[in-house]
Amino acid sequence: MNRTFALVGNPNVGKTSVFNRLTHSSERVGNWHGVTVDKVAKVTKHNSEIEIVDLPGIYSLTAYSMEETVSRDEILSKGYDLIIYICEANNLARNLYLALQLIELDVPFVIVVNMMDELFAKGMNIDAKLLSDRLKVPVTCLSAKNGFDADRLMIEVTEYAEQFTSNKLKLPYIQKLPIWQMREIISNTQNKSSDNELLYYFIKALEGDDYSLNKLSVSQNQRKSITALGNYKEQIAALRYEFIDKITEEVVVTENTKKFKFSTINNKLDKLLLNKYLALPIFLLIMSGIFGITFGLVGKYCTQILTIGKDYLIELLNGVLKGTALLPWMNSLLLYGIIDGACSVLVFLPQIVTLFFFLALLEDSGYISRVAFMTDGIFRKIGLSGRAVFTILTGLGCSASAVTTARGLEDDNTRKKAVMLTPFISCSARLPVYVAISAAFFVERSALIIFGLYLLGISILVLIAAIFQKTKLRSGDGPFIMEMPQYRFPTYERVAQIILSNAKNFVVKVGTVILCFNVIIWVLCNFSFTNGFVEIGEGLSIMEKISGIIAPIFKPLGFGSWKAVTALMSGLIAKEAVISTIVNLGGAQSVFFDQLSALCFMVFTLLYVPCVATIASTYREIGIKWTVFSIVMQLIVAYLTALAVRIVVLAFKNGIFYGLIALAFCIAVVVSFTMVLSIMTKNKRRVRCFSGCNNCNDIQNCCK
Amino acid sequence: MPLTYAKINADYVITKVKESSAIRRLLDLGFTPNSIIRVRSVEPKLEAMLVEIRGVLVALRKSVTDSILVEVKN
Repeated sequence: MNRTFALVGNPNVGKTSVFNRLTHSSERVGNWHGVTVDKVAKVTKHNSEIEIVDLPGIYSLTAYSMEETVSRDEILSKGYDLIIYICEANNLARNLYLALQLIELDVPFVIVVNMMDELFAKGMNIDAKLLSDRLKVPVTCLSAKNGFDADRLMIEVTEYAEQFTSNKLKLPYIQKLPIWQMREIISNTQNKSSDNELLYYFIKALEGDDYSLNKLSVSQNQRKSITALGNYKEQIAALRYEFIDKITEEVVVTENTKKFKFSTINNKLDKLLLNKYLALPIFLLIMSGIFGITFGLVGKYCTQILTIGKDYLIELLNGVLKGTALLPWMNSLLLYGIIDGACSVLVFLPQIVTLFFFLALLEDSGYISRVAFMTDGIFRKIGLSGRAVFTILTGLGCSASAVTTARGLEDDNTRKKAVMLTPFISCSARLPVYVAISAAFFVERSALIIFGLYLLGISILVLIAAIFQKTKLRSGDGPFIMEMPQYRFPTYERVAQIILSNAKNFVVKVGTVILCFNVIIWVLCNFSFTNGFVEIGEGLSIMEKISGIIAPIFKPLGFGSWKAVTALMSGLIAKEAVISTIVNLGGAQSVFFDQLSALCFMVFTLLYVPCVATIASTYREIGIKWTVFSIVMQLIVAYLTALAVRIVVLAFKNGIFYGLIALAFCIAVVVSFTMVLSIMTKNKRRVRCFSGCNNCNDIQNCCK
Repeated sequence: MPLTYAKINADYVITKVKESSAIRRLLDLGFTPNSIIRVRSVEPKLEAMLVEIRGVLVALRKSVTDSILVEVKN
């Protein structure tokens, strides 16, 4: 018989790690809130077929963000045979808070206490039998990081799911709540829920939970009567925690008082890394180090070695193919359209692996959450929140997946802005473009140029976010509440998983999308509408005709050639295709006229419309209207920034004085634009509601 | 007094969590009356605080710490 089990728990308790162990998958795990933003399902075989569903983290059944709404709806739908409730051993009290709500709801669930290794390291333990006895729910203690017997766990939970009828625990605090009065007030309810379910909805209604009040079809008068019963919001939470505290006092056992060094190390690290004066310089130092090693040391030598290998391979194959009966155009397609195009992207794998190695270390250690905390003040000023750091970090890897992480952001406007601005962060697909072009034109300063491009992307993000603050996309001082994970030693397994999954994605993409697209581009560049096979540069090929029409638009930017336009167009499929197309068309030296046109091209590539996958993700997150807006905005921003770079550099070539004037002019244009926007929207500004509701924009008329 | 004015590394007891858009989340995280709270760090621009409650570190923006009333633990 097929069954469906859901993995539920607070954020960052290791649900996905347990999911991966149970289903032998490699879903992304992370040491920060919001890694899983949608439900992920996989079927696994343990005697019978079982579908395991991993849900996003949730603190309580009152949802606070989009990802939490997904989890709440799934739990309340009761569409699962059993819930596997994952708790963090270090933080049992807070984790049991949601467990109590599952008992109130009377759903079948088992408790799995994860991260026991960290509790042992502190010299503590959990009496699982006693905890199970107190909550009348099976309890298993394990460490997903170190591995556990998945088969045994599945057998135990399946047996429990088969025999479950109702939870036997009578929660003592329910007697202190006015449940009978609630029954009288909502006696006319059309709700067909069971008695146990009604009890849950009554408690939630007393807490003022909108979802439950709507579920019970409570009228305005009934709402007033419920409010008249008293303010139970604080009281219910306090009663739950009072009950939990009694249990945790009994079940959490200290075995060795000498092992308390772990929390001391955490405190000392926080003292240093979150120091009022040192926090930001330390962060900048770490990031500079990472970029220096990735693009300087590794980039310089590894890519050089691989490029020599690639050139040797092509020479070898050229010799072999000459001796065959292949037609010249077939030779050209195989050598330059397929092998050279794909290999010219693959040689950048070492940089991508190195970048993800360092990012994985930062992510897994718990430092990134601290960065979110210490940059919140800066992000708040531009209408984002510290949590945007997670979106930016993911954006360094892949823009398409980064836009989905914005779901965890506090309010609708902040989320929209994060989705539209994330593509300005340079993703790993753009890395080969910078490395190849800067290596060809800025040999000694290539690492500096690449670092500068990353900084430019972040600066543009900050600037546009600041401009958005002057428009109807303004975000106010919304609540920023974020749990901080403990510092952890990055594990070999998790770091390897992050590196391997990113390297695999890169290689697979090159071997599939880029390869196919290279062939298409090669055909379009080497065949004409009427004359069949033609040489590149004769002005006869299909691509030369199409790109030639668009090319004049880019003349002011210094790269108004059909080759550059073709490369930009191919970047819409995947950014890696930009460099393979350039190689197909004869290399960077034949596409760009000089250093400046190459620089402007890199700036444009950094900022213009991301790949189709990101556009699709953007559409899913914010709808068609805002997707079209973001595409147009990105094209305009890319064009104007590349133009500004060209004007400023040309002016500097005529002397520092002219350069400074040009720079001042560009800044003045941006400031004037922001001021005009500010004046235009001054009287239209409203104080937004941040209660998490989707229906109202005005705090005065908040539907809550 | 509001938690915003609490000293770093001193223990306080929560007396009340004022009504705000963040109250539900604060209560869910254990910011309930009589809970012991300690400020561990302050963000460089003094706009956010890192507090320890029930053994867990939670980052809170100033607008949120304003709504948590505390008194010094005896």
